[in-house]
Amino acid sequence: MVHVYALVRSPTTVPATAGIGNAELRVVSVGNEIEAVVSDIEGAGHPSESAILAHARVVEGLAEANDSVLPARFGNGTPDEADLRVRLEKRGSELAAAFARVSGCVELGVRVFRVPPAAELSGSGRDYMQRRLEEVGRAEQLARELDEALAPLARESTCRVLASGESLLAAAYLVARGEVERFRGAIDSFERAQPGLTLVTTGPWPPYSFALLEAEGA
Amino acid sequence: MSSASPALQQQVTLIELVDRVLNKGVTLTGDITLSVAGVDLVYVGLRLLLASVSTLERLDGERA
Repeated sequence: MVHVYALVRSPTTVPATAGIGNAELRVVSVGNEIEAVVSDIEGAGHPSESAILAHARVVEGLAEANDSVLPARFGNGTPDEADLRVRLEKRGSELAAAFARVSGCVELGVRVFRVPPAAELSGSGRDYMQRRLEEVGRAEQLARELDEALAPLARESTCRVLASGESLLAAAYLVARGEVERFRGAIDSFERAQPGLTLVTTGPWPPYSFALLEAEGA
Repeated sequence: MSSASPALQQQVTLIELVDRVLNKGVTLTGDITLSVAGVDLVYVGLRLLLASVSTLERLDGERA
């Protein structure tokens, strides 16, 4: 099988990094001045810890060396390069839109925790549901406040309400490279204004959460 | 600066990385070859779910 790491606008600068299982990276032209960075992989590609880290390291290296990349989801196996080319050649306009979306941007992740967690829910089923509903409602309200504070500084954002024990929210922001420090400042201000909450910021990541191209026929 | 401890920061970074690689990014071929069971095993294998946030905060405090 051929494992795909990311799509890059040609010409691709390939980082001096080995792929999964130490395999050599190759660049495959898939038409419309777009290239796929791939390597050979045995079988369907089991998502072991080393394989996940190797995949992430290649995508990271590509994102550092090229203006915009579209990370591919792990498990995008294709039997050979010709198959990949046939699938992507006819999707030029969708790919162009996907590249334009993330161009010049990085992704930042923000997770919001409450330490200590809310008291354990007990009592009757009815009490449980009532309190659980309130807990989710509070997390949704917090998601709106976080969005108000941070979304204006980002090109796009997503936020998942978890409201599970200590984990309240998981958000991701697509931020212009030059705006990262300003964005971090806004996260710190938000955290200071919310006693009892811990915000953990991760990244900058390649724009995994904003690399969107629906599977053909999906 | 964030109030998050280095241990919590590391744990969250690993969770975020695995989540991105396995669940985000463009799907090109229409058949993602991972089964749900396979993905669950990855999470268990990484022991992502075993340590709670407060445990991490406490361990970090003890080390400091």
